[in-house]
Amino acid sequence: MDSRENNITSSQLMGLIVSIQIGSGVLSLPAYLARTCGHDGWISLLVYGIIITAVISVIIRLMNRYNNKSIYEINKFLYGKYLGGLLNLLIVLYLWYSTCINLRSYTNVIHVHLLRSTPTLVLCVFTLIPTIYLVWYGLKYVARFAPLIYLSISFCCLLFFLVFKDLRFNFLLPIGESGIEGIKASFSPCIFAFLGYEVISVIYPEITDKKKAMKYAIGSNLITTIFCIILLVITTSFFGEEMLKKTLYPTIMLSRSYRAPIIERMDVLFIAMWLPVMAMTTRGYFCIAYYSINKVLNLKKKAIYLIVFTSITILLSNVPKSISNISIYSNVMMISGTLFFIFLVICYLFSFIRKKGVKPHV
Amino acid sequence: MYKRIKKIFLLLIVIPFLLCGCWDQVLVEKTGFMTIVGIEPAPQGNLKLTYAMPVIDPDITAAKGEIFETESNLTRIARDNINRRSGKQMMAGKIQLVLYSKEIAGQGRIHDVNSIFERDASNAILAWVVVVDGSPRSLIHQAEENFKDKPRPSIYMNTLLERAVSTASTNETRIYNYDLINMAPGIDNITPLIKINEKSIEVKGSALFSKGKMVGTINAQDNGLLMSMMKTLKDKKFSYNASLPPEAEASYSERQSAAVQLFQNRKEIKISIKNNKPVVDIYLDFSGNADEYKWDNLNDEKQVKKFDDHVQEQIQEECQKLIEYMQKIGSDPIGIGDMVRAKNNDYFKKVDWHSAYKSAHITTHVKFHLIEYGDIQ
Repeated sequence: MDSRENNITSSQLMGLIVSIQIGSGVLSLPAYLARTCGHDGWISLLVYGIIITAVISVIIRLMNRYNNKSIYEINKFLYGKYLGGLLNLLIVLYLWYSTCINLRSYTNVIHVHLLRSTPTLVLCVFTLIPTIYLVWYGLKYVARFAPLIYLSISFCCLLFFLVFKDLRFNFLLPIGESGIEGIKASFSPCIFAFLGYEVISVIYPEITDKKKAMKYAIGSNLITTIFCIILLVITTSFFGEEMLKKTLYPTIMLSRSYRAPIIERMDVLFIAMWLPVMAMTTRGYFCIAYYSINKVLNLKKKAIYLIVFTSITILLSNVPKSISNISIYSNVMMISGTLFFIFLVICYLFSFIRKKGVKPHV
Repeated sequence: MYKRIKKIFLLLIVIPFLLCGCWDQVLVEKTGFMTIVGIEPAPQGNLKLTYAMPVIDPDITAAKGEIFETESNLTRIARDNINRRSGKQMMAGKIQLVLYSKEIAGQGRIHDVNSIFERDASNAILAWVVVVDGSPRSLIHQAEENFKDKPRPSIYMNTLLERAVSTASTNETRIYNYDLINMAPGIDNITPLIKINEKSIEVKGSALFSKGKMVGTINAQDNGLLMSMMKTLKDKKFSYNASLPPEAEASYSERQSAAVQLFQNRKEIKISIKNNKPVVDIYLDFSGNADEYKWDNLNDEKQVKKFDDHVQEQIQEECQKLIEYMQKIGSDPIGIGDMVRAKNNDYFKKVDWHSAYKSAHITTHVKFHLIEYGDIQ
């Protein structure tokens, strides 16, 4: 990947972040939130959406303090060559880990709802073909593909509109019943739902119009927050809190419950429309993990490393063997993601103490 | 290197076309689509299952069905038993109706049996949940063997139920909404109730549930009134059989009643807690068309007013009776409990809703106004 192939605009960044955030996690989000805070999940999402917006603004501010540098270079300025190198390695591992988990979640959805007999390994291979193709050309092409997410979101909103007459808004009442405890308990699913924004710190130097980056990055989080809140309101008022707790993928269940004329099985159509979204989460992390490896290790023979990287990703994604296994591994991803954003905030604060490399340009 | 990568990509693109359908292929010719499942109790807690499946064969021109019977403790195992006898692979994705006997419904086993439909994504969760007055097995057999002048049983029953819902004779209950209502606190299920006659199947009304168990039934006319209280009467063609005011009866002694098509304009439910008991006021506002009234002076305002008052009083009386019946059996399909949970949550948490519901003071307030009476006065 040469540098120009990785250049993206701020609006492409927005599409990329939205597509990473809204992926397979959104399918199970209402169920996790129902288990932790009952029918008040939308309040938690609103609260955490605001917190994440603040974190994004801190990340952009951190990036703006270092002219055209990513978190990998910033780490070396702040923590020195060795500690900085170690931290960079951890970030790369986190991104790679996220790729594997997202790939596994994606194939699991296909397994449960579409192709029950097809081996996971085969699904992984075919899922990654378009990803490898796009990643081969660079981040720019992945980011150009990302706005496809808006089409899938629109289709999802159409489904919400179609089931509107069957909603019981009483299921959302009384508002705030779970209280502060509910908001605290919903930390994990909410943070997991918003993960994806942290990639800004890695790809920031590739943004061509950095002045608009803040606006679009916050915009992406706003889209995710609004979409997730609408999803929560619709699924909770359709299924009710108790039924939501029992389901695994309420969003797909919602499409299964809609009786469409002619189409008959709306869920199959919904999954077909949602596949690009789920694949985009994997693709986004895959691309950025590969980009990071190239950058940190300064690799030259990109074809060989891409094949090696893909093979290891496919093998690692097959480590979780069951759905409960996936949720345990996802929890690790959530914890790592949380640590990553805390780390970024610390970096921002530390940059005021250790001012090496600080060159504000915006 | 670039050319080699291109070749690899080309190969990877070709592979799916070569391998497509290897693992999850479903050949229609080799598949038996179950359309109706009948479930009734069998000894030792088992289930007596009956599956109806249309025969799809180019050599058979007339609509022909196949029926399989088995007994098992689980529906999935039952399907496997059938698979050992059937010439085709049985699939449940096209099931349109799940017929439960009154006994199964009374034992509260519907929710558990439904779990397979929810768990296995290849199953249809849009199938009807229907309670049969009698044996579902005998109903499926009779429908398949005796109804030569009717379409295939699944199509016949499906259209019959859809039409019954459109005339407010019964409620639409599919697997997914049966399950979610079953789990929701403060609201009970209601399902269609059917019975087989000599030459047809009749939608008798609805089966009422309390805490997941069937506890009573209502007829088709009461179902229409219940739907008005549930606010699901909109867009339905509900013909109400109203008795005539005394004066009118005197003039036209041969006609005892009039058919009025009811339209629901408004429903409001006010709830308060007084003396630790729920006090519920249900306000219903109807307008109607006189579809059948014989010859009379319906253009006369006074006559119409009398008619309005009479029908209003009659609907109110019947709604009140219906409410009292539902309170007696402890069934709350209107979801008054859900409204109490939403608005008086502390009270709802404190009491056992079904006990509180029985002692609740529920009053219906009905308004009726005749708006059309056709082409004659």
